[in-house]
Amino acid sequence: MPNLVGNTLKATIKELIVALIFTALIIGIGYFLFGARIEEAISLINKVSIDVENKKEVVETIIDENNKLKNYPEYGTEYARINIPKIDVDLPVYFGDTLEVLKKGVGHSSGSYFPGEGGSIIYMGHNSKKMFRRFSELQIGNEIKVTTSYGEYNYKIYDMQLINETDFDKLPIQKEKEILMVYTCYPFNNIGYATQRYVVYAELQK
Amino acid sequence: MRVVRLILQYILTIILAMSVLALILINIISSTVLNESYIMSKLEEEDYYNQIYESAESNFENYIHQSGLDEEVLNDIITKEKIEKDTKIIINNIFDGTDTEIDTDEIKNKLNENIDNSLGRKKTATEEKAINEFVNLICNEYKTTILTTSYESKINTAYQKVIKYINLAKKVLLILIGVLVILIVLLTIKRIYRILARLGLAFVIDGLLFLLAKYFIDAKIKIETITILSSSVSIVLRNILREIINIVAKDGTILLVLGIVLIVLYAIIKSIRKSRRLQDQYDPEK
Repeated sequence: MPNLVGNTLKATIKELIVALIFTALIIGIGYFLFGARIEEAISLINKVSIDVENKKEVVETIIDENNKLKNYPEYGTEYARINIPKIDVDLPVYFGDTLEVLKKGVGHSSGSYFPGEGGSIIYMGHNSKKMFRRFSELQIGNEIKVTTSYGEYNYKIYDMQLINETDFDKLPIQKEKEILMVYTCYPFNNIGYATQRYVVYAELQK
Repeated sequence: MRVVRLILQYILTIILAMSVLALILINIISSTVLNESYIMSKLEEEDYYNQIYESAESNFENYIHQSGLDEEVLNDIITKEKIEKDTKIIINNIFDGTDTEIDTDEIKNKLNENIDNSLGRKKTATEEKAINEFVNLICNEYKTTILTTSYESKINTAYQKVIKYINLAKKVLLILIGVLVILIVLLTIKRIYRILARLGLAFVIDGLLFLLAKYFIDAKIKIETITILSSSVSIVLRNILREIINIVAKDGTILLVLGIVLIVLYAIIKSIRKSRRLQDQYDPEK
């Protein structure tokens, strides 16, 4: 009886070793023949594998004593809130000006400066009810507050202008004085694509 | 001669293992990604229609802000039932080769009705033109969101070709497996129990390959974050891939266990025969 068990075990192990050798052989031949293609396919699949949640560590934006911003917000992210008490506006501000950004809130033109940097800041938003439809009610002297993760900035409106969409010189980029320019499409209740913009100019309060 | 026969047996066993592996893989593919009802059931399971509904509503908002119209005009212009119906039309176009167009008249009418109610006045000619453009944009956005493509008929042609080849491959593989088993039986006819060892060997090889493939895919491919076309499509795709890998792992385990059982049976029979032979040799009466 012990012989029977021993022989059975021996024969089983022998066959399993043969199976392992053959499996290794098949894998080896397969890798030799198709290895490069397999690697290529894997890298292609992993290219469309985007780990959004663990993408990158969010670094907080800060401003130093020389008004220089460190760790600029990532494009498309919310970095501030704009508050205009006169027309009950309290909206998130995103860095960027794509349609996707403007759907979520106020966009910050990527070519302009950030609050606190001492230059031109350009914000834009739709003329919908939830956003800037009531811009016509704004008057010189009204306040605009921008709250960022690195500080709070208060601006006072000093001018309002109606411009054409191509009048870029009416939205000048400079670094001598901190000016906030917020614009929306005009007429406010226009249907369809509007070619005019209503711009509100505000300066930083000391 | 004995050695040649043994080598031949092993070569046939390896070909048998490869044929069984290919047949199982083809069956997995044809019963999952190439199966219309399987895809439909996955869409239901993953709440796909609801996700598309939310995604369509969100995409419409891109246009409403620029249009100058109130957001309310988008209320109830699409329904989950409509999305389910249209998604099924697209899937039928792909799998069955039908050529049904997605009808957006319902959306158009409802949207125009909502706009008229929202304005509450007669539209000017310029407004009429702008509204028509807006309505067309929304209808096109709807089609894009539910993934209508101009390639549906091309995909169907490719699909029909793949199905044709898969059915042919299934038949060829079944015949090949039958022929290989007969050949192995013929080669082991003197000791027929050896067929158990050869079949067992083939199944163990397949089982190991399947299980190794599963671990290889798990280690190398980030299935959980694969993103294609849209988040709704990606979720469904990820789950289908995960399910295919689980089927591979399950089939691998079954084959491995079955193979080991056959090998053990072979080993038992071989040992019994050996001990009987030894007993016969030492039997003083013989």
